[in-house]
Amino acid sequence: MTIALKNLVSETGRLVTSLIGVAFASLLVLVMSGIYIGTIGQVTTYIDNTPASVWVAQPGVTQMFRSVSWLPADTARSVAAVDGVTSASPLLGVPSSFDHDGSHTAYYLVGYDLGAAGGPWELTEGRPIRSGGETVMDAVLAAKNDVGVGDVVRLVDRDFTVVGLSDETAAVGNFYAFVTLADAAQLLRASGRISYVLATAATGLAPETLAQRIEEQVPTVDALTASEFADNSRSIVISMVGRPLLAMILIGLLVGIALISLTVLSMTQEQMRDFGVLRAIGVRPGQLVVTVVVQALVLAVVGYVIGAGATFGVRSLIKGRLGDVTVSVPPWLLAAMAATTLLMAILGSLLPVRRVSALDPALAFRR
Amino acid sequence: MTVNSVTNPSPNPVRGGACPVCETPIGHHGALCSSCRRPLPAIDAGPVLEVSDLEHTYGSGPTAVHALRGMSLRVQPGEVVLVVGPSGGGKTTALLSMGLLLTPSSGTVNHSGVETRAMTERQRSRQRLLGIGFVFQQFNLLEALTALENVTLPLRYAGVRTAPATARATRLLDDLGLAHRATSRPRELSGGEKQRVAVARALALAPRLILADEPTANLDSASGHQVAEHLVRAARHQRSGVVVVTHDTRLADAADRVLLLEDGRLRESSPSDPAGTRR
Ligand SMILES: Nc1ncnc2c1ncn2[C@@H]1O[C@H](COP(=O)(O)OP(=O)(O)O)[C@@H](O)[C@H]1O
Ligand SMILES: [Mg+2]
Ligand SMILES: [Zn+2]
Repeated sequence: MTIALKNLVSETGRLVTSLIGVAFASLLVLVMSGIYIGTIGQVTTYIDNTPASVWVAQPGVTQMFRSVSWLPADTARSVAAVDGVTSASPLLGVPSSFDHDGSHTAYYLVGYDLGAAGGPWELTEGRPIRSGGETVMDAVLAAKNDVGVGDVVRLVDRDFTVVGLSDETAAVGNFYAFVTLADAAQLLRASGRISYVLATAATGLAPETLAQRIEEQVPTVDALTASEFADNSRSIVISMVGRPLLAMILIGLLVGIALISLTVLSMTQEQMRDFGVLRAIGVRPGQLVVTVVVQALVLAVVGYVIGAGATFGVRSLIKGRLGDVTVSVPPWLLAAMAATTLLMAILGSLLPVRRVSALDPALAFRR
Repeated sequence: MTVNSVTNPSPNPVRGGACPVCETPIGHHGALCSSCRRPLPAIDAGPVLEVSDLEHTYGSGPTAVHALRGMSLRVQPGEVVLVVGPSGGGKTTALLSMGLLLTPSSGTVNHSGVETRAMTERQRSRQRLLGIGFVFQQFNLLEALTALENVTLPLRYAGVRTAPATARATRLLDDLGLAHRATSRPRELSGGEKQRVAVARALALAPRLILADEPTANLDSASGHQVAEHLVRAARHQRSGVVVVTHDTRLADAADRVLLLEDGRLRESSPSDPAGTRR
C-alpha cells in the first residue's frame, strides 16, 4: 500500500502526466454527457414553463420543432367551451430565422394573446409587451446579436422595438422571441389562423381526461397532454442532435480507457524490475497485484477529482460563451463517472497484473 | 525498542530465547513475536542449509548446459562460506537453487532440516522472505524509497509492526555506518553505500541464511572489502549462515571456508589458496 503511493509520488513528471491524462478523460466524458443531459432537459423549456395541461394542435402534429401547426382562430373559443377547461389561450408559433447585421440565427417566433398564457415567464431586463410593435426576445439571442432593450430589430419583414429580454428561453440553437398574437398573424400572413390552443384543466381533472374530452367535442383537432407533447418534442431533438453527442461520449470513454490503461501499463512496466526484486526476496505475487491495483485506483481517484473539478470550470465557461448550451452535471452523473473511472482503472491494471503474476523472480540475479 | 541491544551486545544476543528482530524474550518458537509480530521460525537449530547431489541442466538435447553436476554443501549457523569459481561455472545456478528461486533437476535442498522440493510456491515465497536474505550484484534497491524504507521493506511485508520495523532498520543502518544516509534515496548513494543498504535489507528479518551473488563485482576494491566485512560481521553477530558466490577471490580472508565451483562441481579450497592453484 505505502509502496504503491511512494512509487506514484517518486516520479513527479510521470505522476503529473498520468493525472492530466485521467483528468482529461474524465473531463471529456463529463462535459459531453453534461451537454447531452442539459440539452435534453432544456429543449422543452417553453413547453415546461408555459402553464397548460393540454396542447391542442392541428391533427397529425405531435411535437413542436419539426412541424408547423395551423388551426382556425375560433378553435380557442371551441376549446374554452369544453367542460373542465378553465382557460384556453391561442398561440401562433413557427420556426424562423433572425437576420441581423448579416448574421442568421434560427429562432422560434411566438405570438400570444397579451391577456392569456404563452408569453415569457421570466425577464432578465426590461418589461413585458404592452402593445403591438413591441417584442421580448431571448437574452442570449439578444446578446449574440448585440441587441439591447430599446433597440429596433427586424422580425420577418417588420421592425419591432425590443422592450424586454427573456430568461430560460434558449435551448441549443433554438431561441424564442415573443410578439403579440395580432403582430404574429400579420407577419406570418395568417389572419384567421392560429397554431395551438393551450388549455388548462379544472383542479382535480386529469390532463389525459381533458385531452380526450377536447378531441371528442372539438372537431378536427389533436389534443395532447403537455407532458406528452414535451416528450415528443424532446425525442425529435434527441433524434437530431443526440447521435453525434452520444458518439462523442463514447469516444471520450474509449479515450479514457486507453489513457488510463496506457498510464497504468507504462507505470508498471517501469516498475517491473522492482517487482522482480520484490518477488525474489519473498513478496507474493498477490501482494504485488495489490500494489499495481492500488496505484491504478489512486491515479483514477485523484485524476477523476481533478477532472470533475475542471468540469465545473468548463461549465461556467460554456455558460458565459454559449448561453444556449447548458452543461448539466447532476450528482448521479458524477457518481456514474466516478464508478466508470474506477472500472477503467481496474480494467487498465488487468494486463500489468498478469505480467506481474508471471514474473520470474530469478531474473533479479540475471542482469 | 529494547534497551539492551545497542548498549550491551552479548556474544549470542538474538538466537535462542529472544525475537531476532526486536529482541524481546520469547517463550516458544513457531508463532508470532508478541511484541513486533515477526513470525518466529519453528526450528532454530542444526545446519542452516544442506545441499546434496545438486544437478541442474538448462535445456535439453545437444544444446543442453550442465550447469551443476553434483554439488553438496552444508552451512552451520554463523558460518561464512565463500564459493569462488570462473564465470559460467554454475555459481548463480547454485545460488538460485539454494534460494528456492529455481528447482534443480535433481538433488535436495534442505533449509534448517526441512526439505524444500515439496514446498508450494507460496511456501517458497514465505521461506525466501523469512528464512533467506538476498544480496545482489546490482544492489537492486527500490529507487522510489529511501535507504531506511528499503531496509524496512521486508519487515513490513513480513507483518512486523511499523515502530519495531523502523527501529530495527535504523539500528542496522547505524551498525553498517549509514546512520547519516537513512533518508537518502539510492541515486544519492555511492556504490558501496548502496550495497551496504542492500546488506542491511538482507539482514533485516534476521534470516537464518544469507545468500549473496557477486556482491562486490560492481564495487572498487576498498568499498568491496568494506561491504564484505560488514556483511560477515553482522551475519555472525546474528548467527546467520552466509553463502557468498563470487569470482572475486580477494574476499577469501573474510570467510570461514572457501570452496571452488568449477564445471558444476564443488571442491574444498584452503583460504590461503582460494583459487585452487595448489591441487
Ligand atoms: N537460463 C539459462 N538457460 C540456459 N543456460 C543457462 C541459463 N542460465 C545459465 N546458463 C548457463 O549455465 C552455466 C552456468 O551459469 P551460471 O550459473 O550463471 O554461472 P556463473 O554464475 O558461475 O557465471 C553457463 O554456461 C550459463 O551459460
Ligand atoms: Mg553469476
Ligand atoms: Zn519481535
